Amino acid sequence: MQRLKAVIIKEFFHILRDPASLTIVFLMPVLMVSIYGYSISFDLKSIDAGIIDLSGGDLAGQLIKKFANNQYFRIRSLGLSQSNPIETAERLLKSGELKEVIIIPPDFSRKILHHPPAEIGIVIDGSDSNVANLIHQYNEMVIMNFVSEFQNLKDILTINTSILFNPEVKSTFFFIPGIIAIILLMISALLTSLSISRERESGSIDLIFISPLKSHEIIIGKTIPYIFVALLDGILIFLFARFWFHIPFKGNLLVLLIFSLLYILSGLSLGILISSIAPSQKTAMLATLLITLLPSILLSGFIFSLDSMAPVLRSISYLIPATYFLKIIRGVAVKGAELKYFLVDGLIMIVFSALLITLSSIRFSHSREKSK
Amino acid sequence: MIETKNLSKSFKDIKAVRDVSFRIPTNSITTIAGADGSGKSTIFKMLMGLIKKDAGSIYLKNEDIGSDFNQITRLTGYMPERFSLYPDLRVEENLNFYADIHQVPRSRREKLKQRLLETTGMIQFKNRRARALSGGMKQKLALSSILLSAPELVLLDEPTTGVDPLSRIEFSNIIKDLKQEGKTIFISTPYLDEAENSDHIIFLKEGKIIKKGPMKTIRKQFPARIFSVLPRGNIYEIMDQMHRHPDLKNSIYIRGKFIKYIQVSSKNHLDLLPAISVKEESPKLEDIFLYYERQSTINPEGLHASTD
Repeated sequence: MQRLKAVIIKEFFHILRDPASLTIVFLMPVLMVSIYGYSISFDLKSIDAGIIDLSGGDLAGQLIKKFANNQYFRIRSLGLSQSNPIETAERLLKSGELKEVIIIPPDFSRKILHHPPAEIGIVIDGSDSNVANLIHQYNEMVIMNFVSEFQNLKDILTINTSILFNPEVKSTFFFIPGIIAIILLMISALLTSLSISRERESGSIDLIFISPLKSHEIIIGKTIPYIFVALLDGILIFLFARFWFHIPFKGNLLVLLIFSLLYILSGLSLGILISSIAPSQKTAMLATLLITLLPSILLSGFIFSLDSMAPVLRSISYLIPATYFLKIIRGVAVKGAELKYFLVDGLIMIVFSALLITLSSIRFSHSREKSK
Repeated sequence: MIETKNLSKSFKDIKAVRDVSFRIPTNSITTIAGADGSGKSTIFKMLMGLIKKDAGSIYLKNEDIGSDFNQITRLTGYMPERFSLYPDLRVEENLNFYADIHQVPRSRREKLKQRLLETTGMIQFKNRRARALSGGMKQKLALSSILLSAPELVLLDEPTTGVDPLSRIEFSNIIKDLKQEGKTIFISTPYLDEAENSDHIIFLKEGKIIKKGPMKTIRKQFPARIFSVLPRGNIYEIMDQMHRHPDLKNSIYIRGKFIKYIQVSSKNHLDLLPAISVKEESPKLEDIFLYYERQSTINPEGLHASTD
């Protein structure tokens, strides 16, 4: 009993004398409950829908009005004034700016009144299978409301829905690219998060501090080797997903590689920043898992659509590198989207990496100076 | 070469270093000796700028460095108390890394590396990972690494702690060679026998200097006599009894099977000790340290005398 008591007491000392790890352990559940509480909702708050009205008639106008007045839809007219509305629609679906496109044919009004049923075409972005199903349901709700106004007429409208990019609405097409994004961020950040804290624990940081090495040389020198490791890791994960889970790859491999590199760089930079702050390897590891996994799973659009999130959480999601890479990997792999659609996202990831590397260097220089 | 004036450092309520002033002359071996926790490592770290000093000044070649520690680090090879190289790198890889970050030209490096590996007896271990080296070998590797940048000043913080006796002797010889090469060496140790070859000595107790000066002067001016007593009876029982005696309690200590007696005043109390034999000895550094250490306990404020 005395021996057991001794071990228990010793362990309590270890726990209590590591306040950084203890903070994370207690902070994590509070954060998880808060974020889950606000982010778990499969309801869509807004559906960006494009409308190509080839009819121009009153009834088509009424149908558009039904969509426009519905709280869930944000309507964007892809009018005939545009040179090629179909091409525009395809581009906006690929880039993720639109979730669906509703096409009203030229003879819409005439058919409803004289030769029903009329047919409308709806193209839904199927890269997010959950969202695609929800949009389909919401469409039916609005159209039923429209049809109910024609009390004397029956079977006046048929909907021809096609799911773009993922016709079978397979959830793996949605989740696997997301998992790749999350694992890649976690691995990249973990690779570097231990590097400075390990040197701090072993004491070798003192020899680095008094060496002629500049702080940015240390930070960049510690980051570069891991770019190759993380990139290889990324390729391995992607090949596994491609050939084991049969995830489609419709885009350009080079585009995906370029963005993967930027994404990995932001993960590695994040790890370096954590490492420059964490007092021990254990704290660095816990902090990395907390910072990479939790927000990336809950707030990046991996499970819950950004459109269904509270505005505050949605703002936070734009600070997470995974939010941008998820959009890119789903876009490139599943939709076959080209480089031009993701230039802003790539730029944001470059800014992220530069900012994190700069912060790490400042933090490292600060701890170097603080000792003097 | 380097000098400190009234250097002080506290960690919360603990005064680790108190008003420490000393001088390390160029091309000499200066040893700072004291028990564990006496502030030796803190002084080294303050000299290298790794710990911020609370008060005092540091002079390099007679110039106050202020807060510009680059002046010192450029000239210095510092070996911390704990082995701080990379255990997963091989001996040669560790040396190469250290040479690279100190921008040692490749032309000079290979020769220097070869010589250091030979001098330290590490040549056959150059492909061994550092984690697989013995304690003594690790310290030799650390020493070799810092010598690659050809420093003028070599700071060695307890380089032989945890090292086997043979390696300690080898280490001592290497240090003597370094002095021959013109280097200035500042070394800390809890082992006073290692300090016997120093040119200058600083005795430290609880963050304060209790005696310092050139070794020869310290020996010459030693005011007490040392006797080695082979006791009659159980040495520990005798020590227990004698420690209660006011005239002996601060003057005796055990060394092997002998009781060492430091005769401070003119009166000799040897007759109080049940002895088989008594022999007067010339004082060793350990005796000298213990004498000043005991004196500082009896009279904490009375030991500022320097033999500088």
